[in-house]
Amino acid sequence: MFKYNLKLAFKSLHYRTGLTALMVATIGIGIGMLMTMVTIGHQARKVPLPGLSDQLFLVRMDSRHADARDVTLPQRMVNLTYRDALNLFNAKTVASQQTFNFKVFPILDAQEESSRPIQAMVDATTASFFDMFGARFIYGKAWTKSENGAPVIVISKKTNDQLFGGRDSIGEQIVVGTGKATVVGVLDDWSTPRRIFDGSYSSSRFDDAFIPYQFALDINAQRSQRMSCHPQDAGKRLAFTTTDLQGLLSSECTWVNFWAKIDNPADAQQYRAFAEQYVVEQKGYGRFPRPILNFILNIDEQYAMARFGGGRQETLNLLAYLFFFVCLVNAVGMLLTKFLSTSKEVCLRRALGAKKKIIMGQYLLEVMMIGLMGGLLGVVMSFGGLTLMKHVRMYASDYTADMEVLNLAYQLDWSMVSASIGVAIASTIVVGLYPVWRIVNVSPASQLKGA
Amino acid sequence: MMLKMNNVSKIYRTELIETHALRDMNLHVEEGEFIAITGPSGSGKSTFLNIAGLLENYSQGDYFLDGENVSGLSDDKLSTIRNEKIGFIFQGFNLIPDLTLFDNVDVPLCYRGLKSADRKKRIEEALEMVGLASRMKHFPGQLSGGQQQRVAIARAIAGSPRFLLADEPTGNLDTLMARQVMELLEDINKKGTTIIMVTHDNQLAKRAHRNVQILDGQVNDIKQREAIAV
Ligand SMILES: Nc1ncnc2c1ncn2[C@@H]1O[C@H](COP(=O)(O)OP(=O)(O)OP(=O)(O)O)[C@@H](O)[C@H]1O
Ligand SMILES: [Mg+2]
Repeated sequence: MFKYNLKLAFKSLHYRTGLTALMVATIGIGIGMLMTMVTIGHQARKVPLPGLSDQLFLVRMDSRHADARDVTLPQRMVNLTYRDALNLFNAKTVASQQTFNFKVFPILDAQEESSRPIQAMVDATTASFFDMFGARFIYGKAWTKSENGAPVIVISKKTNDQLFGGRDSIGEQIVVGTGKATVVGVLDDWSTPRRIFDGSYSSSRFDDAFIPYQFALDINAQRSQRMSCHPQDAGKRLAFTTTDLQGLLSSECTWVNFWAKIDNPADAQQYRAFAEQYVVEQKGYGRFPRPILNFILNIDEQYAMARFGGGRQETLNLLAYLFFFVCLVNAVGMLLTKFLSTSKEVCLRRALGAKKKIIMGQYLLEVMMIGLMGGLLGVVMSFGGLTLMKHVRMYASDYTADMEVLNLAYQLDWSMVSASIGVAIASTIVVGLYPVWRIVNVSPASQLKGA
Repeated sequence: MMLKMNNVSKIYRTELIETHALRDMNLHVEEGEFIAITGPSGSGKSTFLNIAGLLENYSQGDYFLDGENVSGLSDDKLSTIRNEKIGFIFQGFNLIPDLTLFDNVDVPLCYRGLKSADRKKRIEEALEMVGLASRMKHFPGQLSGGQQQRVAIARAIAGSPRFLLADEPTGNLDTLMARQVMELLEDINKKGTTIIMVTHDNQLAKRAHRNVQILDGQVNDIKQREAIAV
């Protein structure tokens, strides 16, 4: 019977082909729009660094001026001052590893005929950074703890391609701003679509290189990091990012991202207690004028709080859902038209002995086929939609974004492909219930009398 | 007793009016009979056939088909009885245009769940009987009206039903073709199938064993009346 129904369902798809095509198109376009938006959200929320994201805690403390505005959202809290970062880094804590970083942008020059210097985004950080964030190396390895001030550099795969044509560049010298550093490692591409470690969560591009923080200070590389200062220093920000390094280091400006790797929730509690104790202690020196407010959240917790893409993305999402709903409502009408136009035949089949459930099976099969085709079309559509959105994003960034990184954020993965098809089939079935119910219940006598 | 209707009534209710399509209909049909039903348009002939064929339910009365009281049977059970015991021939042929003759005759057999070899044998025999075996692969649109009605007859008899219901089977045919169809029905009846046929054609009606006239939803059983008159 299944085979017979399958044959009938196939046949029925051919009957009124135009209507079938229109239905498939309606569902396909709806699914395509929806999946484009859902995929963007899905990629944005994908947990970065699986296995590490619940152990890496960003540490933020309220060291601001007494008159500063109240902050309730953790993501609005300031980073650490250099002084506090260094104090925590050197303290004995339950954290199994700690690191901090700040962004500088020196010019990198391999001084080779074949390559041109690049204006680079470089992270100044500690040796522990690479292990903590699961970095993988193509060549070489991270610098060691004792080299946190050494003239060494770890470069990204892309930088290695640009400066050295992709060859093993370990041991090569690179001009870094006013200094010179030896390449000790070349990173493989990161598996995370976002730069979590600098707190930017940007999915536009990776960083070009990493250098020891003390080396970055030694060569006074230009800092490119959001700074929040107490009122008396507000006017010095430009000097702090360029010339006045000592002023910055001893100021109350916050600009350093600080991370602790804590292996279990109990230790995290202990770490929080330690941080509070630290603030209490600092208050003794007349610092931290405000009530104690520390945010020590792991990546998962931060992700749960963040709204990536912000309001615009949410509006697009809502529109996509509404549009999909409208498509489904249209599909109900079309299915009803298509099915009821076959009611004479159904009447006949019922008269000749087809049970209701057999007829129902036949039409549900047809509905599922339409759903499947709609889903497949939807996958193609969402592929197109994502490509389009990617280019819009590229355009919006004035072409500064890195295509390879964007590809990660706008890619259709298998879970999304199967979700598209599943949602298409499931929603078509839901939508088909009423039309199927109607056609199943046509009276076997109604169309035969006198005809 | 093939069919026994006692005081069967059918009322159609629409928003505006109630139509008494059948009023206290009494009819008994023995196995193997060939009955012709006549009556003016709108008198309830088709309604009677639809009820007899379990395509419609009735408002009042009792109906026994092949000794079984059919009131209260489930829709599935009714479908099965239609499929196995009853053959239908409709005035409008009601063939499915995009199926070949073979597949058209196959429809009731498929729903019965017969094996494909068995179905093939039955289809070929049925089409053989109506003289269209050579055109199995043709589509209904390629046939004349008389031929189409013969395909419908083949479909009705392929499942070897006990009981054949025909609603003006010759209504759309010219006299020659009508006679051929009638002869076919007579052959089928001779093999033991009970037939009830609605017709407007008095010539054809006379050839049946018994004529029943329906007037305004009520039976006027001519033979019974004659018997009383004698
Ligand atoms: N589904 C229905 N709803 C309402 N009224 C109906 C319905 N079917 C039939 N009727 C009415 O019931 C009465 C009997 O109709 P039926 O079709 O049985 O007549 P008939 O004897 O077959 O007529 P004809 O010779 O024209 O085919 C008619 O008045 C008709 O209008
Ligand atoms: Mg009629």
